[in-house]
Amino acid sequence: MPPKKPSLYSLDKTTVAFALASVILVIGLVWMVLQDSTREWKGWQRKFMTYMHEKSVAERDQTLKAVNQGELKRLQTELDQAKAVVKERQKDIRKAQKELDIINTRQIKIKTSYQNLKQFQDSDRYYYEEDEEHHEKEKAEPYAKAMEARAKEIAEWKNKLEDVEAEQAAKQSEINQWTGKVTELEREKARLERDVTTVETKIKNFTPTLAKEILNAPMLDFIHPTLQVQQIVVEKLQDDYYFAKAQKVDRCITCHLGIDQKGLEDAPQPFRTHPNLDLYLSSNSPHKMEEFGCTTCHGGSGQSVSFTTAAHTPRSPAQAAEWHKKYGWESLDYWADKMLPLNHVEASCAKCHTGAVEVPQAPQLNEGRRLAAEFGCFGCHKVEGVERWKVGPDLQHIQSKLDADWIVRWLHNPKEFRHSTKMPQIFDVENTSDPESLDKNAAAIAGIAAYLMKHSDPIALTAPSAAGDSEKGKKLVEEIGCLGCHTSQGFSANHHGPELTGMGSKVKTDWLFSWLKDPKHYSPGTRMPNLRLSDQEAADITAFLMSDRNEKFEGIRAPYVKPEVVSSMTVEFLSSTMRHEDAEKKLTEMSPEDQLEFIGSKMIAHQGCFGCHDIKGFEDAKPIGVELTYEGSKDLSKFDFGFVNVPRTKQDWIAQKIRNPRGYDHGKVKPYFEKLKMPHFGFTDEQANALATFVLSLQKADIPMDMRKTLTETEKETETGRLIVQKMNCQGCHTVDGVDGRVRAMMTDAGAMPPVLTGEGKKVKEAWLYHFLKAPVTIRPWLHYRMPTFEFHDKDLTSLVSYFNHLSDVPARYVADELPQTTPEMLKEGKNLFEQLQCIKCHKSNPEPGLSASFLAPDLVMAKNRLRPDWILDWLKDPQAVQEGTMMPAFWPEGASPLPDVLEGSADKQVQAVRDYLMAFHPEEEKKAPVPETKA
Amino acid sequence: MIEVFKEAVNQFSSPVAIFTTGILLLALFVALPALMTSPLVAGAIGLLTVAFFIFGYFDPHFGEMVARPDNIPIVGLIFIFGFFTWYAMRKAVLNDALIAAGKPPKEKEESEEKVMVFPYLIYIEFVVALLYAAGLVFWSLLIKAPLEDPANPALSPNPSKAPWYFLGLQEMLVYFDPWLAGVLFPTIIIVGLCAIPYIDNDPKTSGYYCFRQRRWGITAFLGGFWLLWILLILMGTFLRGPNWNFFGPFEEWNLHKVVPLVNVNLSEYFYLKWLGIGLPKNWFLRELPGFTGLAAYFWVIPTLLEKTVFKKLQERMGTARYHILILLALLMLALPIKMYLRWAFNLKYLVAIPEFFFNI
Amino acid sequence: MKKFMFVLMAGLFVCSQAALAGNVTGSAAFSGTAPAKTEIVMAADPTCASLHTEPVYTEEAVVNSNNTLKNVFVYVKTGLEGKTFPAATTPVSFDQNGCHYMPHVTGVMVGQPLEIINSDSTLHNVHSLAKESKEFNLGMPIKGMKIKKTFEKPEIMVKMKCDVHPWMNAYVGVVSNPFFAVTGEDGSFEIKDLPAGTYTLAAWHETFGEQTAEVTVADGQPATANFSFSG
Repeated sequence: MPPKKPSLYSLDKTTVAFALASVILVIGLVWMVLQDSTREWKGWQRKFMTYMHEKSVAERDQTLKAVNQGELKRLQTELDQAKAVVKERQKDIRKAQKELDIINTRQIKIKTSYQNLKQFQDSDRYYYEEDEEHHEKEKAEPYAKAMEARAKEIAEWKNKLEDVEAEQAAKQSEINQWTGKVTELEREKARLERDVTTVETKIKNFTPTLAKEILNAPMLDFIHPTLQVQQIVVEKLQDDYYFAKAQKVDRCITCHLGIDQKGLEDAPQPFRTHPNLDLYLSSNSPHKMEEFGCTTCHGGSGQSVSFTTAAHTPRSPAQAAEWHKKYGWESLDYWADKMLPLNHVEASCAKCHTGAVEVPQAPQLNEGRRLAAEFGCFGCHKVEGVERWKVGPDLQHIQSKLDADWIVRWLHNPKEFRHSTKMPQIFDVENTSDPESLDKNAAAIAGIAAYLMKHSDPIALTAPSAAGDSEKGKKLVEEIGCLGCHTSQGFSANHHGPELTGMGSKVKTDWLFSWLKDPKHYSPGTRMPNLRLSDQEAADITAFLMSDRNEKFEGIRAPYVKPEVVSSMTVEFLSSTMRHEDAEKKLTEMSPEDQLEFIGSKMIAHQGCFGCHDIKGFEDAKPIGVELTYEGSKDLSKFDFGFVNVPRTKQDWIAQKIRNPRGYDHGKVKPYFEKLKMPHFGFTDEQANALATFVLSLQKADIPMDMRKTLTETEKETETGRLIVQKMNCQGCHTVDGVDGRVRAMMTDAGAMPPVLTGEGKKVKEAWLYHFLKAPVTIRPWLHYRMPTFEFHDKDLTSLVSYFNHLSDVPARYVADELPQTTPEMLKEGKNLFEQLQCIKCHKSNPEPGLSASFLAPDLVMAKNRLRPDWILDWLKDPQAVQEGTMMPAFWPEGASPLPDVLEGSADKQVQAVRDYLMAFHPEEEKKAPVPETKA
Repeated sequence: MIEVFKEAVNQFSSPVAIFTTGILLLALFVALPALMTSPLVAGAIGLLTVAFFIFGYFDPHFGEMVARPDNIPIVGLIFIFGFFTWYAMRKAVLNDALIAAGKPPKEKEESEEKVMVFPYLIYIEFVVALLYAAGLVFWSLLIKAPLEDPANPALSPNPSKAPWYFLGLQEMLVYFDPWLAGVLFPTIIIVGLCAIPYIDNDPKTSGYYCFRQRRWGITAFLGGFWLLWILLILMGTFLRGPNWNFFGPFEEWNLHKVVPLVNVNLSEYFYLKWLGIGLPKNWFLRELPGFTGLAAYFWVIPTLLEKTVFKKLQERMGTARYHILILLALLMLALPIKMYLRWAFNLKYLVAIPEFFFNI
Repeated sequence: MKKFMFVLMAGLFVCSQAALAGNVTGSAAFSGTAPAKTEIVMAADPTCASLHTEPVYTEEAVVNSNNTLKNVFVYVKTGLEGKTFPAATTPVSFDQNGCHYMPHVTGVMVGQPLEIINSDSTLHNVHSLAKESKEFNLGMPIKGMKIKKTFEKPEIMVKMKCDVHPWMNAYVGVVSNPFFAVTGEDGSFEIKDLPAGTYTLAAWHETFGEQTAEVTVADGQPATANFSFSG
């Protein structure tokens, strides 16, 4: 039995607790709703509205000023008048309107009847036709009759309809006589204020109102919110989540609302317009926003709608601190695909732009690629799809060029000999600078020198046949074309070949002479071309170059090589393949020279010298570096930061590695042979950043073929040509493919500069170009600069000819162009013109003394085989347009001829006649061509 | 000063130290329950724990570890289970005092009173439910669920930790072969727990808290629950870092920490170290020392005990029950014994049969 | 009466404008040693060689007998900002005579035609090396032919050269106002009808560089500006 008054617990207290719990719960729930609906991106969208509102108001004020206020006022007064009239006649208008309403009702009724009748008619027609078709005349008859009768009725009703509609129109015009003016004036006023009205509409869109706030309220925002997450669903690109691929959905534009709008270039971030809208984002650009999204190029978490979780990456620690302060930004630990910082953003270009030597509009990436090729990164680091060539000199015949002493001093510190050398520092670097390592370095270097000297075949050298004049040699170096690749005596336009300093301290005279006469004799794979030097020229240049000595370098004494270190290193190497006791035994069988040679070969294998140099015995050796094909996609945890204090990001690791490759050994205890081996290149910060961008661009990205930049066959051939041009440094001398010839900047006389090759494909015939590149002949005898013989392979020659053709949009056909059709009259007049215009004054075959370089012009004997007939026409008509700055004068300026009596004074015909004459020109005739007499 | 203290804590948190401390504390708890549960002592212990956590929160590593969303409930676990253990023991101690004085236990008089379900049960339940809901709402508002990165098959997280309810087993994996720690022991734990009501059919102390009359049972339970479950979970959560290395509470987790593992099988000890001859090729012969040891443990010991100390117990329970109880008790004790053998002698396996992938 | 007043006012207005202008005269003095004259060898073109019996010298530094410089181009550098002047229509003559450009230095307004004449029977070409205006290179093979050319933008100074005969060069100063002059055999120049105001005048010489001088023109009064060059 329950007791009457139970008092187990105080119910009042429990009720109080209930009240408290309820209140707390309500607070919690309200807070929950608020937290859910208060989103970072909504704040940004509101800010954008405010910003655009201000901007639109300013724009409206601007447009208002442009409106003709006087005119507006006039219209307003007229409008007021017209409205007053309407007001006066209000009664009449109302009466007329009522009458109109009655008429309207009648019209509706009539129209309905009319249309119904037409329907019946159609229906009957159907049945009639069907019955006729089935030959059921009895059934068809009544229909026909009904149709006939009804036709009359329809005509009547049609008339009625037209009548009533006429009444309507009349009544309406009656009304319009009072109200029409108002409508017209209002329309005119609206037209005047059209621009302002447009802006006013814009302002309205951006003005916050109560209605908008309600629509955006927490529980109601599913209906029609004005603040919405904006997203781009990219059809063809996918995000890779390791196990699965998901369609890319980029929500960046939720905050970046002005990214594709022109006119917001000065807006504060995140509303600023994307730079270069013609290239990115706009609908007529190659990277349409709807097709590419944002994260394809920038990386990051596209589906996120908050600043931190979208994985924005700061450019520097300073910016990171600023972001942390302003936005509470933290680096995301749990999202691997972070956004690329803006100073490396070009790394994404390579995902789609594969196969091209240079990616258009990506200067930092291209510079990184070029540096990587130039400094021989691919000699140690394999990157699939990149053509490798050995950037260092051939060492297979080194004993004919150098002595061991020089090699030792060189290996200790290449920059001591020549500061601009590309050879990196391999020994005595940061992580091998303790005394024990230094000893080992000295032994290793001596070993390498010993090995190279022993394992190189001697080459027959020729001594200079005559004494060389150093002064003449200096002039030759400056004028003959060496500066197209080399730096010498402070003239520096190119860094393609080594700087020509210190030769006297390095090589033998005989070697240098033999090299200059024929580089490929010493080094078959060299890129140095043959300048076709005469013996005297080669002797002069040799004398000049050998006169430059680097006394400081000569005075360096290589560190002493301790025999016990040599022995211990030999044993260490031997112990990797046999037991220590056996190694010791073998050591006793080896003489000190043998030991040095042995160490040398092992050290070359260890350091991977063969990556840049051809060395005997290492023809098939594999590159020693880490494969970098997908380095950009490597997970961050796989980068060993060691004890180095750099920000824990991929880009910082890579940039630091490039600046100081051995730095990551800092603080680690490692035996000598396990230390980091990458040599020290001494890159500047800018170079390191470019290279880092390049490395970051080496990514594994599954971009579908139709989203990639696929090269057409023509483009592929152009790229093959471009690679050759880059490899052989054509742009060191020539202006070609949009790059000015680099030596041109050093010269003042335009006539002395190597020819500009822009438009060469349209100018010369393929067969001629092929043979010219294979074995150059002199075209412009006054030029000191000499086109070298590169000894291209046939494949390269074909590629180059195709390259020039493609650059000028001319298909490579190798078919001799047909000679243009001509008449004897044209040939005669052509010869006449040739004489009257005194072409021979400049286009002589033999140079005469006393005339400077800009005097003469190419020998026209070559024109027939070399030039394309159509090109000659364009050239003669306006030489300046074809090649700016040319010495060739215009004889038919603006289509006017100086000789009105030849060929009716028609400039076109005269030009054609001269061209035809040139095409029929025979060398014998040149001798007969008279120099015009002087007319007093 | 603080650094010295932190270093000391790190040292004292090593598995052997913390386990031994646990045993000692448990022994103290069951030996002097009245003292240990007195408000003064219990309050002091509670406050000290809170103070420790507050102090530790200011250490960057400890603070970050403890404040992590998935570790906060584990911290809560310490206090919640601590509270309930204290509560039960307190009630038991009070009842023991009453019983010693000849009075009935407190529950008796409480059970005489009867009240209406509504409001005395439902109302309070409802208010508690509201508070619970409010608590959960505030939890979700303040502490966000932890999301890690998308699963990457090329990159395993280090350390890879099981959910908290399996951390005890994961810790056991350090000392036992996966077959035992992952299959055998969990099965036996569950089977054993199911079997308790059938083994312990003593109706004497049901319905009220008591300790004195159920000393062994409660001690065994507390030992198994606190030492072999909670403590292992706490170790697994807070004291195990990358590569499952031990890291003290104030020690920064370093991926590169290298601790040499030089554990030796019993067979190797026996044949190589003591006898100095090579390991026999036949696996049975090789593992004979282990088998012998196990036989001695599981067969000789119960038989001896049966004849001597537990004679009365066996008579009361019956042979079957007794044997099952002894087996379960021995199995439970096997875990700490093996752990100590590992810590003291670097013993890897008592019986190692790689041929059948079976080790004990 | 009204008409008369109108004419009177107009006349006064015009006169006042004239009165508000002034002439600037001056000379370009030279101090120092005159550089040695270089003789031009015309052997390469017999036509040219046959036109001269006496030696011809280069004109890069012609010092007059009264120690003044010939061929100094004087123009207004600052002071006329904002004012526009219509281009004069009378062409400035530029002759190739005796394988020589005559005159060696001349000036022309923007848009004013430069009439290039070939008085020789040999082929000349006129190659304008203008940087601001469009570069042109005209062949003139026929004796007596004339071509008119204009420059679109002001430039100090446009070099003109002949590619057939490398010793031939001349300079044309293109300015956007009619206030310029070239010093002659006596080294003096006169700039007429410069409106009242303060100006910086500049005097350019191809070898000795450019000198500037400030001059203030008051209404009706002549002003002077003298330059001195040193070798």
